[in-house]
Amino acid sequence: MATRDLETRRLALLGRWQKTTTSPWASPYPNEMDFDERGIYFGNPGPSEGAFTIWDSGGYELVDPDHLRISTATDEERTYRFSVSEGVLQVTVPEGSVLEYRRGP
Amino acid sequence: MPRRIPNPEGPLPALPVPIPDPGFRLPREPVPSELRLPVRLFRGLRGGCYLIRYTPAASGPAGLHYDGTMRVERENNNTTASGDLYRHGAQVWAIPLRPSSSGRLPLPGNLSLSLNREPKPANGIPILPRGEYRYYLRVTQILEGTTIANSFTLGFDMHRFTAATNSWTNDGNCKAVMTWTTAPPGYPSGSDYLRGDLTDSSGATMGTFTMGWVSPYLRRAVVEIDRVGVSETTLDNGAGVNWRTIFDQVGWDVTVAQSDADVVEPSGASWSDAEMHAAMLARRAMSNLDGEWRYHVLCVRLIDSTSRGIMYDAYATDSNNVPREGAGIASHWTIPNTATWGHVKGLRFGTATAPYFRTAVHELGHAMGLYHNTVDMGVMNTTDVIAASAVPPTQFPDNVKWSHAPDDQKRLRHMPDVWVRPGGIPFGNDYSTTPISPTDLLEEAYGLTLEVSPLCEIVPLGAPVRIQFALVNTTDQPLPAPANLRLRTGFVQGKVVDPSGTVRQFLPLVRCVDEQPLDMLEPGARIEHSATLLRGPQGALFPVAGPYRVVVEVDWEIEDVTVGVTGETAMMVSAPENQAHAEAALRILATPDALLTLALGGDHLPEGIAAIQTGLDDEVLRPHYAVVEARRLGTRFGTRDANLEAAADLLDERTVLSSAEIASVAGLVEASALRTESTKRVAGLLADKASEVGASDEVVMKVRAL
Repeated sequence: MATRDLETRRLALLGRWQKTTTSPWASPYPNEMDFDERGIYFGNPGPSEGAFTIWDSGGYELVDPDHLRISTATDEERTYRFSVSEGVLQVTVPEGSVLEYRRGP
Repeated sequence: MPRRIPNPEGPLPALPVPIPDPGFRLPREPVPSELRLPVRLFRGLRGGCYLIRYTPAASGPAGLHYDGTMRVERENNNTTASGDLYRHGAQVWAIPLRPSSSGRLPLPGNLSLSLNREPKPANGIPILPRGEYRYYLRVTQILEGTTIANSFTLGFDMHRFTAATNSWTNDGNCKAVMTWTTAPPGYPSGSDYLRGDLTDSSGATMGTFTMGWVSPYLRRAVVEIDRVGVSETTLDNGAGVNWRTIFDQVGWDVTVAQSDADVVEPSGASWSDAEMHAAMLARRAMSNLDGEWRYHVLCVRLIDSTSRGIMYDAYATDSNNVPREGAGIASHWTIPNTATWGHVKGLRFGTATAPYFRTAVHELGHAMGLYHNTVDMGVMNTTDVIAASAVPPTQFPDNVKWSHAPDDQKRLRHMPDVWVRPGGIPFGNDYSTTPISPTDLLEEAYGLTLEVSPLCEIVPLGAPVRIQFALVNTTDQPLPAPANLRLRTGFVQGKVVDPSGTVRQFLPLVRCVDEQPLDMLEPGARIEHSATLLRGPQGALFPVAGPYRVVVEVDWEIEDVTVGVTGETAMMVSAPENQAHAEAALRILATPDALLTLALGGDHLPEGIAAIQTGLDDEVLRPHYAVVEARRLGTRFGTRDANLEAAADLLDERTVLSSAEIASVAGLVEASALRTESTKRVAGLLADKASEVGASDEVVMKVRAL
């Protein structure tokens, strides 16, 4: 059952997401995230060329149905609480806030 | 920012490294004196690191000046350069003090002051104190190729650094006419020293600027490796790639110091970032980052915060508040036993030599201020992405590229010192917040286009490729442009991209002695020429069958600014038609002198002549080499007379001739008083060929006059 939940969550995460949170604290996070089938992700920082972003590229995995581990820009692997519902991805970041992405094109 | 004309198919692949400096190669065999090429002394800026000094005109009694480095990267006729300046103020003391042998003055309490000695050019690349860092020099104008003059104009923006905010302010553009002069004692090369007066954008003199070459490298650093006893050290990839070979590619002189192998685990197998940082401080052999760029690698069993490796002091928030000093890698992480991990699946990381070494180089890339880069499978891509990107039958780690991506290579060469050196700017600022020199100082030539086309769209393997090009004025006003586009004028060069994406260059084999004139190209007018391509500095230009791109660049100078225009075309090299063709092609492609014979003619290169003869003897290649041999035989060499009859016998309707070759053969016929049936036949043939290739009016007139 747990394995099935995990797989369901993983499939729900796959694809492209666009950041909708506009608060200043969210600026280090990429404007766009793309989680692919191979267990890797790519973060697009946005229109500014050469911008630094905490999630730039690397591996990701679901620790459990509610927690996502992402390899960050420093190669540190951080675990975040997350949820996917009705086309919205929410990630609780260390700033204590919930970062929101909407499924992209 | 100056740029080349965009290539519609995207950027070219990285050029091979190293690329030899331009210059012409003389034949190895003695050449009869009357045929010797005119030799002229072309001066070029030597690639490498220069010790620079800027002395303001109003330096005051304290003798304030700035020392630093300028990094000059040469890539044939293109030069990219950048510099950094550190303040150097002579101290004025009310009471004479005697420094200790370390050069530091004893002061009460914990205070001490450095005497800030002058850097010694004999010591190579100077390492200057971070606290004195003041300016980044974004070089916008420099000598691109070579010059017959004794000076050139250097231009740069001076970007002032504010350490408190890690920010930059552009204080404006400066220029100096730099003149070669003899270096003061102590410099490793007496002839690579230049001096000039620096002026600001209004022309007011700011002071003097000197630059003296001190090293073929651009930067230097030490990598110290400490480890716990059971963790493997990491020196290479197990297949010949090591720290030096990686960093040689970016001009860094890296020394590896294998140090302690007995680091004690503070709390079991797995280390926190703070524990690794503490171990670095305790075990590092040298800690003065103002005297040495020392990066530290600690090999431990496991790391709390990550699987494979981490640059743990990214943000200067650790115990010594110094960012980017060191990294840790985990020898006892177990690689997942899945197909993604290819040849190393299931292995303990420290025994997977290649990816273990790659991770160490990657983490130090972060310590040098680099971020992840997914443009290729190079150093700063992540291991996860590279492993997941292997396409069967290639398996990870065979798909690892053992170099930095081109944009990261540029960053390592030309980002400001404080960005890349340990203890500089903390990790995590946007690249765009920091100045960096433009890569290509070529200005696009306004209103001119370069049309490029192959004489034959399909050429058999082993044949030279004839490329036609025309510079066209598309405006309604006259524009300055080269009066002649022959390769030997030095205005024309280019690149050939083979079916695998490898780029090879073609350059003029010889250059004319005289200053090459510019002319005014009238509205709508065009100036044409052609080139016969076979080899370049990296070897045969068309070594395998398949599709090729040929890029032609025409560059010239107008008032010290290099302007240019680029055009390109595509063509195909066909596979060998039979065994004889394959063997002939192989011999020609493997003979460097074939190009010399093709370009220079003469009897002095037996290997070249033999290779061309191989082409003539082959039915497939003969039409492509007939004119090469005809020109050689039709030209007097030493005591051998020109044999126009023999030359004429080689040419027929199948012969492939570019417009330049048509003009050349016409010139031979014209110069000879001989008028036989053969030469008459050749004259008729040239007229047909001129029409066939759409030769310029000038060439057509020349042929008609025969």
